[in-house]
Amino acid sequence: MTPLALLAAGSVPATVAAALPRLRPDAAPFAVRRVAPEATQRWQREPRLRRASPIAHFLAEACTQAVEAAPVPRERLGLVVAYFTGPSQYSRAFFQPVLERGPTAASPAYFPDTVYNASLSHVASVLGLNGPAYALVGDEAAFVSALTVARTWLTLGTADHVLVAGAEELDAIALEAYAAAGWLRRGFLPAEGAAALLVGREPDAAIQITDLVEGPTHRTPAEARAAHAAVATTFGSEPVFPPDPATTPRAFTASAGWCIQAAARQLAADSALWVPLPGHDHGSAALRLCSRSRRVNVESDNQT
Amino acid sequence: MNVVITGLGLVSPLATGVDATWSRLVAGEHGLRPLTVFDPAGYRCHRAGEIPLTPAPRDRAPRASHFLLAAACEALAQARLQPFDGLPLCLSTTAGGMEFGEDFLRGFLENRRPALAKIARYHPRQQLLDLERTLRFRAGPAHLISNSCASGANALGHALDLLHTGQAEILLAGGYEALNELVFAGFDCLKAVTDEDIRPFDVHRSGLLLGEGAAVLVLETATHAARRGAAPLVTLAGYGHATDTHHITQPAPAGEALARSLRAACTRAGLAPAAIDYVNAHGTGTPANDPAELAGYHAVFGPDLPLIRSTKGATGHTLGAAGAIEAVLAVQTLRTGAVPPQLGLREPIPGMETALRAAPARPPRVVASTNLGFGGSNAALVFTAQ
Repeated sequence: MTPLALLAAGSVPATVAAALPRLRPDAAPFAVRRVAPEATQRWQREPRLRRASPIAHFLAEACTQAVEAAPVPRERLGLVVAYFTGPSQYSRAFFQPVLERGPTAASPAYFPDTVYNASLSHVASVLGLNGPAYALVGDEAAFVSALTVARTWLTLGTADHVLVAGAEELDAIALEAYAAAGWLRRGFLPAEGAAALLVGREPDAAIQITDLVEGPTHRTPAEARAAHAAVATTFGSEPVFPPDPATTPRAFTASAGWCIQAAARQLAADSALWVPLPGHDHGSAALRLCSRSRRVNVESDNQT
Repeated sequence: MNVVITGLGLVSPLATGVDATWSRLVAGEHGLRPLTVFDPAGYRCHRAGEIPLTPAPRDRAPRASHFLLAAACEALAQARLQPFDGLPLCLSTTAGGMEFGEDFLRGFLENRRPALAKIARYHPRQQLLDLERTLRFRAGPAHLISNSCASGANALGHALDLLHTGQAEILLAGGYEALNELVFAGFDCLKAVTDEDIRPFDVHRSGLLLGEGAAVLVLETATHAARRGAAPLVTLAGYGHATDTHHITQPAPAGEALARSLRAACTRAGLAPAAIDYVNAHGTGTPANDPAELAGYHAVFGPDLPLIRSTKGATGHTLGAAGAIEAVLAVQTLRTGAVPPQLGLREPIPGMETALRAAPARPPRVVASTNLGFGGSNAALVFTAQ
């Protein structure tokens, strides 16, 4: 399989500590990390995005940063975006009034933006992308699935370059679910944002993604440990990018992208580095970054 | 490398099972009925392609998991395949177990304590986990595509891509969707639904009806099928997909992205568009979709269209499952030589009289299945007879 040349990246990080009101107003608000409003300001005036959900703004900013850093022809540029909760803000904004006041309260201002691929569609429009575009659903591991899609398109010639991204937004409905599931008691700090990678086939690019590992799914903590361990068996004796501390703000698919970006920044010349991406909900995955002067092992694709 | 289909599974509003669904479809029957999964009072529309779950399941899985499981079991049985650890999945949905998410929100508004088991199972990925748990296997890479109404075709096309690039030799692909109030309210408020009959490609069309269901197909390389002695049903020969950036809910009037998808699928299949005998079309019956779709067909085929039908008149629009369900119905046309009647047709859009009403002059040998979705997703699949 074709290694993926990592050409550029874009990031909309969650930098602002904030309190998000709960669905039951008497309960203490959720502690979260949010994107600074100025980070996506340029999209407030974009006609296609004026009424779009925050996740669309995050995604547009991250993808635009990537294509501005390494301009490539748009007509052969694919787009794959991984989501975990996806458009949760507009989903609740649309449906809560229906439950409270009945069907006449349903607003078309929100509904189309409740579908997973709505933000992807907006970004395709803003960037003028008419080629292949997929929205994938999953946790952190889905970012690796998205890279697998990109690699497949590049191998088949469906696209010459692919934007691979993860994007999440925060809403009380999702956070109440995390609270009910016990995640927040275990130190999970919810965050929002987006991360994007621009990948292609350029063999002389400084950084290549040589291996994509998609491990088994899991339901229980014990299964999760086993799944992550199974993925780790592919690392051999090569260096492994250390996992973030448990207190790091988490935005699922966006976090996966930020993690890959951090690992790429740390990658020394003539070296390789495994990046584990254990999913919080059901997935397990990893990828291998390789710097330019190291021999790229194109035969070493693994599937645990 | 040839990719063949060796197993089909289908749960539709018409029936459970491929043969039962097909019998009713070609007999001109439909599976649309009054909604019961939630109270439709206050909505414009009160019918849908709802699947009666009888007896009511006793486990705690959402409707979508039941549909997916039943379709997968049928496909696996036909393919004589035991699911094994490492079997890849390429599936699609738009809403998964959304009714559990709705119940979670409703619980807060009604000051009820939320049911933890339901929270854990609202997420669309949970249907994959339910499938693995019930059939006792651990999937290999499991990709879930949510490209609105083209999702199912994308899932099958992605499966073809994985097989063509040697990333898999065999996999399960398909789509699933369950009716839920959030999505229903959305289509209702967009005035995309009708409470009359669905009339795809008809001058008097007034909108769509939603449906639910699942379809699963076993796809494998011809070499792999031969090695394990599996009988190929048809070949999945081509796939194309493209994005239309015109509007989030409305297709570009000239249907360019659909045309590009269909041309790409033909090219990949090594066939000229004129080789296509029959198109199982998206055909929602909405005022905006059908003319745009027709424009796309004219761009590809010219004035002489192949036979075209939309099966949504019988099933309703099953959204994230539609591409997979309609692919199975297209495959049935190849297997049986029959083309289903166009339900709801009174006065065809000018230029479509023959395409919608003619019977096949000979059993179709090449068929296409096409889908368009919110967000501008367009996809086309081309199947050829064995």
